Amino acid sequence: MALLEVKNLSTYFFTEYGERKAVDGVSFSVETGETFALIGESGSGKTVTALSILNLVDPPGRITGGEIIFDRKPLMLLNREDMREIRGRDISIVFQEPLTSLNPVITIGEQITEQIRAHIKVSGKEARNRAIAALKEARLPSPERVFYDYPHRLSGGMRQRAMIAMALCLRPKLLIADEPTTALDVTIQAEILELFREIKERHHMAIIFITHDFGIIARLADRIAVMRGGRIVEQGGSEDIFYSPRESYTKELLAAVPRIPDALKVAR
Amino acid sequence: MPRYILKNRQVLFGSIVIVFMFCSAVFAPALKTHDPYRPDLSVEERLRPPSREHFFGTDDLGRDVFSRMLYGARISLSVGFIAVFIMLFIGLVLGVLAGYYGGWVDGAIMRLVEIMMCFPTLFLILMILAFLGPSIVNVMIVIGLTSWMGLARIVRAEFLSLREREFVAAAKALGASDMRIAFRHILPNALAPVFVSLTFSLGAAILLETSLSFLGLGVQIPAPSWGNIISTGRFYIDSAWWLTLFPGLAILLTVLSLYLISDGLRALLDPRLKR
Amino acid sequence: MLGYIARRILLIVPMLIGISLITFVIIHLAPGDPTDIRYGLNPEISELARERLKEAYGLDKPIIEQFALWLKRIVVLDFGNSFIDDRPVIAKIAERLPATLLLGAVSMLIIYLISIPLGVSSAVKAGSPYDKIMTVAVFTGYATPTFWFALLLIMFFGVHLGWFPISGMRPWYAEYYCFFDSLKDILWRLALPAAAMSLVSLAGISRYMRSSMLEALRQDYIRTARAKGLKESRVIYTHALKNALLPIVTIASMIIPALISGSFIIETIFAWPGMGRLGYEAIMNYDYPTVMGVGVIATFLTLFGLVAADVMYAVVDPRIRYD
Repeated sequence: MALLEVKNLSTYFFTEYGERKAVDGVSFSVETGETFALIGESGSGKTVTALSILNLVDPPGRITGGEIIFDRKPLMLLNREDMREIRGRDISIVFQEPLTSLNPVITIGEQITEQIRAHIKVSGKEARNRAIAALKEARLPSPERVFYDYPHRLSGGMRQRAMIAMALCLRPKLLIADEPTTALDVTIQAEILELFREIKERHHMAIIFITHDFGIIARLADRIAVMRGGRIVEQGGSEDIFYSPRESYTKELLAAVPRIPDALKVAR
Repeated sequence: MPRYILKNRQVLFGSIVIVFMFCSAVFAPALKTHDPYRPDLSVEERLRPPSREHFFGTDDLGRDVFSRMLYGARISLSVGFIAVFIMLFIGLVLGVLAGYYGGWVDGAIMRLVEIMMCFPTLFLILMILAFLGPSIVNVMIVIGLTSWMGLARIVRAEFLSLREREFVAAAKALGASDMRIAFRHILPNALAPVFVSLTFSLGAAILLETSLSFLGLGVQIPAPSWGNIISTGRFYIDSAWWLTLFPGLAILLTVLSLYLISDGLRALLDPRLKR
Repeated sequence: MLGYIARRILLIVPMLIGISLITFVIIHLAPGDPTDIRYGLNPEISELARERLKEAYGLDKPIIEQFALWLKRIVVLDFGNSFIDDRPVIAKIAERLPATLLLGAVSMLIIYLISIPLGVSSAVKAGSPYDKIMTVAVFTGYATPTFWFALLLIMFFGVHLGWFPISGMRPWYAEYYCFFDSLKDILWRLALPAAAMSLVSLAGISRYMRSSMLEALRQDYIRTARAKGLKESRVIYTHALKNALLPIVTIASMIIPALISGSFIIETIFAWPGMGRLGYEAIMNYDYPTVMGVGVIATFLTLFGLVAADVMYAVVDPRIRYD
């Protein structure tokens, strides 16, 4: 059985302007250790799907239908406490904007240790060691110093690494990355993607990688699903999607990836 | 707009009360039950508790509190209105200048605002009134002179953001003079938050006037003000509770209704702006 | 951060000059001159004596020079002698200032202790009946005239129920009290005046706290905190609250002018021996040296409060602290 199974998920937003179907009957599954890419343009419902898995959709949004089964547990039927346990420990998420996603008045170190101590009983010292180990794994320079820093002291790339360290510190079975590189400079993007590749290889962790850019997940994804308007338009193995896409929308998206002209490719 | 008033309970309540107060003030001569100025020093008439004849009782000089309060409403409300008018004048002019011209004009005006806001305002007002003589006119002027800062800031903020808009550039291209642009083009768009501030300031002005009258530096006896009725009541606080309670309630309700309207206006304007 | 603080402190000097100027102008706008105020009604003073007096006060010199002299004297806190009892004004102020500061400090404590939980709970329960009731209560507090509220407190708690004393700071037998008895006694007498002082600011600050908290709860880092599986109480009371409290520190600067203004009224009503009452009585008695003295000190306190609030904010916000 797959690690995560999403069956017919629907999440609607009920605003004063009417009902908006952000996610409308989405189904897919993710196996253990597999990297699953969710691709679509802004507003296609990718982020809301991710939030729905973790039951973090804020009002006026609400999950209106479907099933989510993780590790044989039906997530939507869990009570608050049990769901809280799963968040951060079994399923982690890395958000797009590291600047606003980190609390500006709490040190990086404390933001990691609080997560550790919310899930397992360890001493303060042990939590600190684990946090520094996580920072090291995310390849942050001088992790002992970063531990005591506030978020605004770090650069964008470093902040994102800190977020990744936070997501990894409890070795979740599933990591959701919601456009983790979109807000970063291109060179930093490449570094962060490299980091994801390392994580994938070293920990055999399942990853749901959300993005709008096919180019980014070209060498990362095992399977891909294309979303549009709250629905999955096409899904399959990454080779299949890349080389023989069936839907016209998929073809459009693929064509939109900037390509290095052949002449330059030779020089590389 | 009228529909909104009906839908929002707090604005509705506020409007009803303020209209009620306003009418009481305007129709005071018709509504009064006794002469608010004529003292009746006979023992039976002085300090009588509320009764069918004297709705709110009588004061230490035998005067009917209800009638005095009606006339007090006239005075308190008119002081408030005129003070706000003065505030509006000063605040608008300075706010427009600061917001439209920016630069050193803005800097200078803002420094002035900061200095004025550092003052213990009440003390300043007390000083001015004591030394220049307490009278209704002085009270109006002094309240207006010390409370314009908030308004100026709001106007300035609006102007700073509005002057970058295209219609300003268009007007300039058509050769309109600065003053014309400022007052005929930008100002109408900036008025919304000004109204919010005005209603609030009216409430604050009334509070201030009643406090001053209470301290003896506002409306002078025998002219009635809600504040000075309370101050006479202070000596009889253990016996004639009506002298304290009713005028105070009147102040509370009037100011509360103004604040509620002000907040309702603010809520009305806010989401509109966001859209 | 030090540069930030230094800049704020430097602003005090021009402010004080501005304020002295305004006070000076007001005094001299009064009809007649200061000597008239003191001796005008005394028929025994001859013209010659008046002339000499004017000279002594420097009133025959040009206004600018008078102002310069005035500034020089203010710097050393020499406000002259009170017209009422001929004692140095600065001495009278020094006697009364601690009482006012005590009242102000206790009021501030009450304000923060009540308005912060009130605001936070309103924010957390936003939209609920509790929130709506609180909003109305807050507005009512705003609209209540302070002096009236003070009188109501006296009427109800002082006279009717007899729970609290309604005037004075110490009883005449105070010297028989040991320290703890003194402390209890003062706190007991502080209760009503401090409650009256706190009312309006309480309303304002709890409102501000509420919107600050709502703003904090809207931020992305709250979503991250929940996604990490933190307990909801930690999300609200650590992640959100820490951020929401930052601007509240600066709000202290808004309360201080209100507390000072309030002290004039409250101290008079409760016969509290503070600077506010001294100032009020000075004004009513045309004791203008005292008026000037109280005015300058009051303004200085306000300015000090403003700067202190700014500094506190710089200390508390890590984004400023570590730059």
